[in-house]
Amino acid sequence: MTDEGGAPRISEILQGGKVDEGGVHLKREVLLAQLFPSQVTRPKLGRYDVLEFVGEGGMGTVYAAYDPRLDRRVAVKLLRKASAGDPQRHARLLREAKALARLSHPNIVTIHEVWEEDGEIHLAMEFIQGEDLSRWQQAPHDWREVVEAYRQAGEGLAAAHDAGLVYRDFKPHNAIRREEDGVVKLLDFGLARVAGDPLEARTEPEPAGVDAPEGGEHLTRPGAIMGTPAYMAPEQLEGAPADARSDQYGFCAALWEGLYRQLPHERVILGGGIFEKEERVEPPRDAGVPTWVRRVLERGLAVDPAERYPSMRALLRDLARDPAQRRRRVLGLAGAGLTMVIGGLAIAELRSEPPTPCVELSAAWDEAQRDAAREGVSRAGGSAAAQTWTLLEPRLDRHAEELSRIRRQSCESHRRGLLPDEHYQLQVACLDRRQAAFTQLVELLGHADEAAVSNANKAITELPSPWVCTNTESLLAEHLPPDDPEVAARVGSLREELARASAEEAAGLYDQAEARSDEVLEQARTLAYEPLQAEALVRWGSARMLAGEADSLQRLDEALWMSLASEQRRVAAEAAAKRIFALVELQDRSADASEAIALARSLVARSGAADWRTRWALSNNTAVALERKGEQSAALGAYQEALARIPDEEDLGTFERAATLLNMAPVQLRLGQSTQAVDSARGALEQLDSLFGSEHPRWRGGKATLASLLRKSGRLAEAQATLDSVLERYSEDDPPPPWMLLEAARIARARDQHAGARQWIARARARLGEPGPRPTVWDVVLTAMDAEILAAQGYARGLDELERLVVTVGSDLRVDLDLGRAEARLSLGRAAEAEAILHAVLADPELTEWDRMSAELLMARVLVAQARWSDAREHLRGLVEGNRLVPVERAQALDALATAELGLGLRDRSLEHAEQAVRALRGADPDSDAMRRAEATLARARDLAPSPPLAGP
Amino acid sequence: MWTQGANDGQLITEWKRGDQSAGAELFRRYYAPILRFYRSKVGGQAPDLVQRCFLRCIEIRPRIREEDSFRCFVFGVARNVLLEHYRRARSNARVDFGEQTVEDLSPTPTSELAQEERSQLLLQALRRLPVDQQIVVELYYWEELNAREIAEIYEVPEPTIRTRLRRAKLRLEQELCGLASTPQIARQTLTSLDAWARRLRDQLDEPERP
Repeated sequence: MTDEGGAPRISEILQGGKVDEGGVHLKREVLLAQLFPSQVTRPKLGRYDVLEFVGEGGMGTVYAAYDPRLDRRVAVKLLRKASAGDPQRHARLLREAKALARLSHPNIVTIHEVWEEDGEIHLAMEFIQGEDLSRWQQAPHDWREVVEAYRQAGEGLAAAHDAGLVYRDFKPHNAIRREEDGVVKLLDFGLARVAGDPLEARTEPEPAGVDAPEGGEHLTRPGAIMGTPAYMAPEQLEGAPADARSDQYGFCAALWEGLYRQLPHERVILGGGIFEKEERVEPPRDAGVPTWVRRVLERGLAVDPAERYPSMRALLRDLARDPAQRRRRVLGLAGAGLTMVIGGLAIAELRSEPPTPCVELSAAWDEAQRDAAREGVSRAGGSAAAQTWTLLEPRLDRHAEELSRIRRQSCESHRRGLLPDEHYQLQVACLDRRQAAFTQLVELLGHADEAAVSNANKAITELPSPWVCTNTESLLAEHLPPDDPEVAARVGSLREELARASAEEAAGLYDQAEARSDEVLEQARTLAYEPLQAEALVRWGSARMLAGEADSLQRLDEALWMSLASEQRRVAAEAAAKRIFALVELQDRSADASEAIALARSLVARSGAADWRTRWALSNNTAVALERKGEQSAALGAYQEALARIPDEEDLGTFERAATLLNMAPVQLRLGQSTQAVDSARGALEQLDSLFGSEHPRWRGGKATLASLLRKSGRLAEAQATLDSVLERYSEDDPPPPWMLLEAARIARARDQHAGARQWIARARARLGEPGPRPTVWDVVLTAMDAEILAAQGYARGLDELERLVVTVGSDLRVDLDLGRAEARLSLGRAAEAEAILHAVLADPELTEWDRMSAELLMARVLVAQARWSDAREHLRGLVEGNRLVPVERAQALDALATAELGLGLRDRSLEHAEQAVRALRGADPDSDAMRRAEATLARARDLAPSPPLAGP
Repeated sequence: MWTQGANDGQLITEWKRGDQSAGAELFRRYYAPILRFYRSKVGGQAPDLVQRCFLRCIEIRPRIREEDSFRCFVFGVARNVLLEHYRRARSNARVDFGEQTVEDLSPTPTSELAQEERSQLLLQALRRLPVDQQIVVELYYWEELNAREIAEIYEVPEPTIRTRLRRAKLRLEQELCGLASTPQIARQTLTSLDAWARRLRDQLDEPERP
């Protein structure tokens, strides 16, 4: 080895056989798995997933690992290949390790498993979070606490001695104090004597000739580099074999240091590492340690082993004999100092670095994206742009912040071994979907998409919170990825596509959402992966349903069956809840709703983890179905249930709450609860204000709806003031939508402001532009209203225009037109003609319940006008018993009924119904036409009715 | 996507484009050299410093340019992380890395790092060089970086690096002579070091290494 060719490369020299390639490989993969958790699989040691490199020392290397079988954390130690060239020694080491694994004591770290892999001995040990006593005792503690900690360590030593094992190298480093409960455990028991030959590796001073101390050196100087023999018994330093009494010495030296914060002795080591002598050092007087404790320790520290206690147990007995007080446990007292993660090896001094933070966090929301979004909102947000952005920005911030926080948290749990790989991957995939949806929304904003900007605040609160990704249980229940990793990756990215589709859906871009889900569906079919097909179908169906397409029902049905087949309860629940709406609202099949509701209810109940939105949708849609079937009380109950299902958390569910409240108000109105109805609408407005701001079309729409509710309650002055406050927010460039102008016309007409009403109609017409060849619903409604107003003033000229529409109108608008024609004729006193028209309308078997109601009411009025009391009464009885009428209609019906009954001489009945009519208008303007009429009828009924009996019932 | 044969530049491109697996591959390639780098300077804490170094690299990923040498980038970061580590260990004291040696800063027994006495000697000698000299020597001989690349890491002109290398070699010889415990070991070590030193001299005189 003296020739040049034999000269080892410097790098080889430095790696010097101690850094074996396998070790480097393992450490490298562990680190890579920490830095790139979704790319690099955690290496395994035996059956354990390695989480983190913990430390390296003379004995070997320690890793924190996770035991998937028992779902717990362990420390895995690889004993250094010191015995590689010595099979006998290797065998002995293995035998010792296995003997240790059988040793079970609360104060000794448990060894779960010992095995050999690649010629190396591996130990899986109990994982302890805490600090070793050497670190722990750096902070000041009451002497009793210190004695208690060491008493536990002493119990461990005694138990080992009972089993015939000697520690040989006891020192504060080798005892760990568990953070959570203060339990102290011994580490590395017994291995020291076989593994590293402590007298060579640990007590030998630095290589001869290097830093050779002149005339001896105090080896106990602080920061001594080599394994310090400070705690070792003198006989060990002289080369004699160690026994239990040597451990006793070490124990006492360590405890002494813990109490007095200095070692009990000073030792002189001569050059060449020869131990010369030791001298006892007087401890500080002010240490506050009782003399009796010191006496016990001094006996244990006797230079002659024969003078020490006969056993650890004897020593512990004396140590427990506190004359002043009984031993008490000091468990749980907080120890100051750093908390470290320690496994089976005194690594405190090795582990100076903080644990790896999780870094795999993609930037979800950077300045460039923010600027683009702000720009997009200001370009497409119209007059509401500024307000939209003010409300939107913090929501986007919060969502992005939550995304990265949950990512960090999830990565952190994974890193600390609290989250198995499989669960972590599910969480990461879920977070990727949330990220995709968020990014999609942000991109839409950046493109200044009008719908997206208008719906942005709703959409961002509708995007599922990243929190859902922390619910591993529900992720496991729904999203088990396929086994084939390639298919799984494909499925993962398709699911991200669906998340994007749901962002588009939330942003009101139904076409895009549909197209994207359709594309995913195609791909899912190619993959023949049913769960994904179901997910794509429900997205497609949902987007189509929101777009108002009747055929969305088929998609949702398909999604339902497929998700049931692939056991995806959450998807099934969503499909079932949504199809109720498609069935009732888009296909007018209220009659079939009961079955759909029952099915959805059972599915939602079974899918424990169903999104609250699905539960809300179920209740809300059930209410819609009940309402359509005329079951107003039940509908109100279901709406209240829907409200109760919305969580009360910041702006979560704001839109849903507003939607349900606005749905609920007319139901309350029909149930005669006008005040509550108005309160509901006002509640909805509050929600819309906090979600969108008062410049937003949705808020304005909500306010106009409130005006309409007020009108239907007969509170006309209020209705007008409310609507005026909305209308004045519009301008030339930003005109109100036609339906608001129509509402303004209706309010004006109800207040007998004929000219004003006709002006509103003219404005609405102007807004709509030139009529096309086929009349729209607007043409019909506006023309009819104009004709009615003219008729109310005695002019028949409006009728001509109405009659012209008869030729061109489609069958779907025919009823609306006919009702208008009849109403106008009634006003003109041409009741017989009106009757004929209504007769035809009522003869139509296809007539919906709601149209029938309107026709019946009008017919009754026509009959009253002709003094055909009996016939009128026939039509009215059903109407007033049902609950489809809003207060003004109810008052109108009751008034007509009272009049008919008066005509028939049924005075009691008439009085009763006239009173009801007035009551229905409770809160209405006293000077309104409806109220005046109701009161007039009541007065007539009172005049004709006999006086009420004097005595009460 | 990248393939096994991809060079560092291609991996950087893919990584910056969001392919995490390319990032993982880059760090996989540099784990052993960086561990070696730290091992001779901080002993058992080396894996922790590798981790810190890689984290830093990931943090400042946007600053890596595709045309840069990742090798120079990662060693530059490694050095900064090392110096920070020393500074932190010495808390507030100012540390002059042109003067202080690894042995002053990180007293680790060399027996923990190398077994053969001869290797220990060489290592110990290296550790007695000022930190920056040690790094320069190691990068040059172990990592086979040329003076230009080292100059890039240090952000100093190339001739400065050549001067440092020359000084480092002289100091190393002195330290070795002072350390040798027995004449036999000293002779052995010096013989192999001589070969090493000859190589050092030859290489230093060449303007560019292939």
